[in-house]
Amino acid sequence: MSWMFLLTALAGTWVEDLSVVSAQCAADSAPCDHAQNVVMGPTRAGHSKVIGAVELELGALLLVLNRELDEDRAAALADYAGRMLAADSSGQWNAVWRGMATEHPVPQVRQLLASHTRRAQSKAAVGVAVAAAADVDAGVRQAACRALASHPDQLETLLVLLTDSNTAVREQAVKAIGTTRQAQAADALVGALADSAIRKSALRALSRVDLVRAKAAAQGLMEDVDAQVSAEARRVLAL
Amino acid sequence: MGRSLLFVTVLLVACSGGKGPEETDPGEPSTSEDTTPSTTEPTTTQPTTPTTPTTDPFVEMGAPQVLIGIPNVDDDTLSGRPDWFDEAATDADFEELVITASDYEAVSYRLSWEGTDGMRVWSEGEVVLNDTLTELVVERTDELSVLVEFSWFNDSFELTVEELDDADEVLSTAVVELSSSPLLLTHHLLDSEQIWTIEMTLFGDNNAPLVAEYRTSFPTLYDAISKQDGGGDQWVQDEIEVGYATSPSGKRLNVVVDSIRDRGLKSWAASLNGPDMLSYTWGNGFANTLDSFGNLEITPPIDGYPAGRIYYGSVPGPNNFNVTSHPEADALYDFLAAQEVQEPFTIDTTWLCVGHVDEFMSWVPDPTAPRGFRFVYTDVDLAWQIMEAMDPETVLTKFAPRSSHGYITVQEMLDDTALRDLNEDLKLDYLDPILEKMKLEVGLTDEEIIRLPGLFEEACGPLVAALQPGMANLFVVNEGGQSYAVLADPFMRTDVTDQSADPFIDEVKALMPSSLELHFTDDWDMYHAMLGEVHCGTNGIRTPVDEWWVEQDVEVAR
Repeated sequence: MSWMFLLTALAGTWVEDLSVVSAQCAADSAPCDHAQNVVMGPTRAGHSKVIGAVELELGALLLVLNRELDEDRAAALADYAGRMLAADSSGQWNAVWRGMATEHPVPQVRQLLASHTRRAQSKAAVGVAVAAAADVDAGVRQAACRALASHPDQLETLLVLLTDSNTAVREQAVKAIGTTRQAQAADALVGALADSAIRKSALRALSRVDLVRAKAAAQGLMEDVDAQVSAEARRVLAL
Repeated sequence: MGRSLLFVTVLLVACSGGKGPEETDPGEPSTSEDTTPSTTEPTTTQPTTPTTPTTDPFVEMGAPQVLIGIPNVDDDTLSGRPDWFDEAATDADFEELVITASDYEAVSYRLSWEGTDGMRVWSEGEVVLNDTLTELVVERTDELSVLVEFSWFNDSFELTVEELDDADEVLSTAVVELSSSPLLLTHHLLDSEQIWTIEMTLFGDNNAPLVAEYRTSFPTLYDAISKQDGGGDQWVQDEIEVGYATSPSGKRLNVVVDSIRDRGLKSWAASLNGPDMLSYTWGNGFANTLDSFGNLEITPPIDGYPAGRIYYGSVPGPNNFNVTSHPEADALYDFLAAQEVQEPFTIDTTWLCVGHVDEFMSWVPDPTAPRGFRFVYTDVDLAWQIMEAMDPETVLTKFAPRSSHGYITVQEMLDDTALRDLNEDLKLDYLDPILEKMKLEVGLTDEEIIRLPGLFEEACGPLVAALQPGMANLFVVNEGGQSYAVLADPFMRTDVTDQSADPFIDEVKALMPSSLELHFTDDWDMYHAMLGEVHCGTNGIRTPVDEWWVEQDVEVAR
């Protein structure tokens, strides 16, 4: 029996979805949710990464992730599961994706699951990133910004994040807005130029959505006290 | 006591003369109280009883201004500890100091110093000077030979040599600066003597292509580390940095700087201690990725730095927020800076997931280049240019799986606006400024720079790693007058077995020096996929030939 069938039949919360998977695994003659089916190795940076062939179906993989207590291994699983989820155009696992991306106790897990919505085949998966944009952890909100950069229809969420209390989040938001290439974001980006902490990035983002307005703004930033801003202004004017 | 380097040309001699009393201008005050050694002439001490020279032309006492040796910290005796602690009467790592007699009617030599526990002087199998023995008087012969033993790197101490008459009055004096070699690190222009990679398989993946490349192409140099000995740690570049100490007389100590990183290769690194080899860890404490030695590299020789300069990635700005994130907070980097000869500089690698300088730049030999080398640097614009000229429907077999990078075709990469913006940001904010810094610190000209195509993608949150296998992350082998570069196969093609169909490889072949033999190697599974490339997985011993002492303005004994 496939997990897809079970999940379709038993609509409920994402935890219930995983319970179904768990029950099926327990009933199987060959247990499907063994963590040892997932092979990991250390990256050069020192954190774990899933390598080699993994026989687990996506549902079982998510179950293994949900049970993993070690934060490093959980992050590796989240990275791998996120890639698999992004490739799944059916959207069958979006509820679990969203649930774990917003409720998993390890911020890095939530961050990785949110980040992989950037290139999701399922359009509905963008809801995962939108939900992650409200996360209590600034790293998760930054990941949401980077994911939403590839979803121009979610500009409003990014504009909200432009007012985030965390500078790094605002910086990622302004960069993401630039990547959306949405000209209607120009006013917001001009407004962001008032924020000295993200001014350089705001000017660059503006140059990507509205070069004329960016050049006009750059004229006034040539003598900015921040050398990086004045250098960016010169660059924009040379475009 | 550290050595102060003065940057003028050195005069290399077997011995140079000490000075007797007749060389002091009678009209000048006595210099006997002036103990400050001249940087250009031996110190002269006025004898209390002038003695008339007996021959013409008069011969002064012969002694070098500087005697350079290597620290005796290898383990020739296989005792399990550095030879210095064995206090053996003979060791090939002692440096001979030869004093030749003057024409004064002296009857004895007196050797004296203030005493140091960093060196000792041997004569006829006995320690004659150390921290407590501060004076030696021996019968004068035409030539006095003693052996100097050094305990550590870049140490310096003055030894006063005097000729005495039968009333113990000083007739002639010379001051010899006894100096031990600093620790120096090797660079890509030096000949290869040994190459290491680990040989391992991990659940179906393996590094067989890289092992086969080295084993086939460099059979006499290659030494595979077994998976067991290497603790399953493929990052051989990161655990150790190979250095050396040398002396003008031709002595050499190989040094394995063992990182505080201490992953699987730790035991193997420690096992390298032995004859003519020291393996040693500077510092301790909690390591982060910046403490790995893919993040510790050396330029080829440049003006003012005959053995090159050290550079490493660090966090820009003052170290006031996270001590452990700054390599220079570690004892090793203090030590390297104190060696003076390869004066380190830092660059910002905080934008990289792994954070190592070897991820995006390197050096290759090129006899046709102005200084004999080219600087290899990753260029994102060139990568886009090549891809834009490719058939956009080209399937990128290696990149396609979701567990890999998830780009099925070239078109998918080209259409990824976020990927383009990310790489443009990296170029503007990091790659271009770092290149300017390299130009400033190394005196690079545009002619010396080779740009290799490569893109980055997010790999740890906003931090990046190579998207295409990083070709600048290469390892140079110099053997038998031929130079080779072993570098990652970029796999920007459909048929993974056909390198001739790869436009990235074509471009790199056209850019690299024609004298450099290129070996594009599949490093995908065990290296690229785990955020490293060829250089990260390779290490080796090279032959030091750089005369680091030539920047001193003193006469050095060969």
